[in-house]
Amino acid sequence: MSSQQPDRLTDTLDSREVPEDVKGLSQGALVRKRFLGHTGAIVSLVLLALVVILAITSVGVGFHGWWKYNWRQTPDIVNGGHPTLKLFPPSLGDHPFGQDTVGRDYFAMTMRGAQISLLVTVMVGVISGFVGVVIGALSGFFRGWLESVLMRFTDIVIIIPLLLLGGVVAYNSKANVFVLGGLLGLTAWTGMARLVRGDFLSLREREFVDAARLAGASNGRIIFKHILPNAIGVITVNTTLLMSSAILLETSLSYLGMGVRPPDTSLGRLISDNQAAFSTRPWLFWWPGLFIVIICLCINFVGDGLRDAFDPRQKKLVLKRVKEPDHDPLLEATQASALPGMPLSEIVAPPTAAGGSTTTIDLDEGGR
Amino acid sequence: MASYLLRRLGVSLLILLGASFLVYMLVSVSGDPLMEYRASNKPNKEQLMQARIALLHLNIPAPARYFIWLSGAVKCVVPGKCDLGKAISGQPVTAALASAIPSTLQLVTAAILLAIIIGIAIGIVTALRQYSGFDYTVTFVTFLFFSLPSFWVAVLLKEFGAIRFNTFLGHPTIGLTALLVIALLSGVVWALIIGGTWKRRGVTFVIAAAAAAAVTEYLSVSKWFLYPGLGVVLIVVFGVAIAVGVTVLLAGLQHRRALYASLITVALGVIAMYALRPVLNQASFWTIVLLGLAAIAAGLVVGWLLGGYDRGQSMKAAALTSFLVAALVLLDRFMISWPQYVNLANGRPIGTIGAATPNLQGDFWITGLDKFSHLVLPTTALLLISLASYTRYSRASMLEVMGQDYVRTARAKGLSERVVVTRHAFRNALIPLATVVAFDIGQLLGGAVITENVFSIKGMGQLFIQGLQRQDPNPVMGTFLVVAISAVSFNLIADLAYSALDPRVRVTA
Repeated sequence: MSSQQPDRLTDTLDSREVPEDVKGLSQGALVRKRFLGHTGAIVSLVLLALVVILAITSVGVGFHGWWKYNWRQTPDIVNGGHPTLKLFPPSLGDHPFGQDTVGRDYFAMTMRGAQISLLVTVMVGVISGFVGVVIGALSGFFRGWLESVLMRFTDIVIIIPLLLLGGVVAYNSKANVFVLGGLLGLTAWTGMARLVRGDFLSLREREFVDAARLAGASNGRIIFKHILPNAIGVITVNTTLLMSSAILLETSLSYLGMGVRPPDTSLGRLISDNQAAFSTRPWLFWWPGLFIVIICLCINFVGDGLRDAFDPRQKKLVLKRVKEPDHDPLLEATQASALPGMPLSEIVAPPTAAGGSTTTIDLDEGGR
Repeated sequence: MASYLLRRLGVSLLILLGASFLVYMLVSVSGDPLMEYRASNKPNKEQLMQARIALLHLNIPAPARYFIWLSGAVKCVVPGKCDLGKAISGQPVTAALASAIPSTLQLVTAAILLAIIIGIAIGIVTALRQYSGFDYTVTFVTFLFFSLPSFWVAVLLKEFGAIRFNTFLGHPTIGLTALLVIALLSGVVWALIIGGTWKRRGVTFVIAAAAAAAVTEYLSVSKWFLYPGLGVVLIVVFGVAIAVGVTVLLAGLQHRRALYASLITVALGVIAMYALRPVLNQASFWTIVLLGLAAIAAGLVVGWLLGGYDRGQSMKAAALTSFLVAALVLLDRFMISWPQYVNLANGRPIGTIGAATPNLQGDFWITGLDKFSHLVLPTTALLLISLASYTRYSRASMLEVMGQDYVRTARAKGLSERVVVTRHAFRNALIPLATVVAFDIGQLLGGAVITENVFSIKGMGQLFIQGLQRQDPNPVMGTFLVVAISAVSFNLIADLAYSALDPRVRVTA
């Protein structure tokens, strides 16, 4: 990260022409700048925000939304429940996503499902993010017996099948969406704990931690003020990944009839309820699936943008490809041979030293 | 090393014990095996309940019951003594597992292998062409696959890959609209993959679209989907392409002898295709294995004879080409049996339920096709989803390696880009992947729950989920045990493989 700083600095200097006071950009500012430069991530973030706003305001949570139906009303079935959404000319119609077999408005149901799925996703992200960070940080910082105990515990939790928790929720009738989200959150933290531990293990050996300790900082201060801010990249990126897998997990569980239970609904539940109707009412299958994919895709792209923003090392590599014909033919030939898209006729045979004798190092060198 | 291994094994055992206890407790609160009787009005309700209580030891509290289960499970160390309890149907869990494990293995093996090979190949190419149009396209597509719920994919595949495709086979002609869509799509895809200037993209688009249209029209007119076949012309064309491709990858085209050796094996393969017709007609599984080995051996011999000063490379290139050409010939032979199989399957060949057609009579080719047509969709579903993560991992790993000093050194030495990529970068990029692959295999053995559920394949996932749904604890514990053992041991293998592959990592005893 530090290797990028000089470039960024000169960039900002150039753009301002006359620097009034030369300030280095803080870590946060650098990350924000890089994240904002990642088009895919920004587009996804906006799209995700739109989906969330749409899901919450349209049918409302506790209050009445702006959409005329809610997910419980059963208006008369119009036109066999076909979706009335039209793109040319754009119009919503009465039931843009159609109606299900008893006439409920499918737009309202999908929005309600999206609310629940998003709720579970956020719960899993927050809870397992928190537990994972605490366990990873404790074991990485204090090491010793605490580390062994916590890591063995992590190993145990890793092999507990998440579907089983769905079974527990499905059986206990009092268990609602919050119990499901909580249980999944309490078991999905293992990957996060391992990564945070790894980060803490390397950070605690760094000079700035020694310096802080010499200056008399307590363990708590070192953890919160010195190490945690440096591990924030790993934590944020992994939380997004956790959330994207959480929404898939929730929908899969609901699909198997083990996640969200009626009267609640979720995107997975909607697909599960309506899969038999695929040949007669395919829209009942398409809309919830579309929303799952949109939400998950957006979260993944945001996570990718965050990763690039926090860890710009990957960005640095640009494979030098020589395109101008007046360059060294040898260099061109060697590159052409490695790039499958190029026509083979361009290849000029390089001297044997390059292609022949040195390549006799055998496969077993790496495959040992 | 030995002490490290022993210690790791001991710890793994403790982990298994802890996890199995926890899971046993969770299972005991996830269902009541007596539920179905509590609400029933059967006259012998009491007796049935008593029988089930005796069968599952339900009169003992769950923590103590765990030790009964454990004492049976411990006996699994001795072959044949295994006792994992009984399902509520009275069937021993070990018997259920014995039939479930092979079908899961059958399902996931091809998916894992293909996902690893294709995923790594795509990942490497995207890393080598970072920030090209191809890279962006693949990144988007992998993210899309990554975001698809597996049940959604499986249901869609079932609808379009099986039901509609089977209907399509009744009239295998492709309409004009479909033809245009296919042509446009392939034009766009190839233009994105090949990239370059806009002019070049335009030319690529036109050529690819025209080629796709021509191929589609040919397939449609010749009713290829009903009467498929490669024929000798296509085998030769593909064979030569394979020979050139393999030589480029393994030896470089300037190594003429390797190229000639590969081309000769292609010719041998075509001759063998005709010479071995009668043998192939009577083939069994082991004949095919033997012929495959013979193909590799023939390639090695040709490579050795033609190899010149650098025999190893020629032998490798020729053997790989020979093997792939043999695979082409095999594919062609399978295609010859396809019309017969379609006939046997009443014109609806692609299966959606189970792993084989019950009571199917036929030779090796027919049963092989039957297996293929039943497994192709679930395998695709699994493949699409695991492909995404392998592509991302191998891309990241390759990018990391390509930025290392030793790659720059290799370039500075004047090595060709091919050697730098295949020798110096590729192998090192594989090291971190070993861990991911091992971990994934451990997970996938029990993880195909949804796919097995949608396609009604009686594997481990199905056993697990049905046990949960029927509130039947012992099958759940049995599958958990198998999955947990495989996960723990693959984890161990991953660690050992890592230290074996990367000498900088040493296991600490």
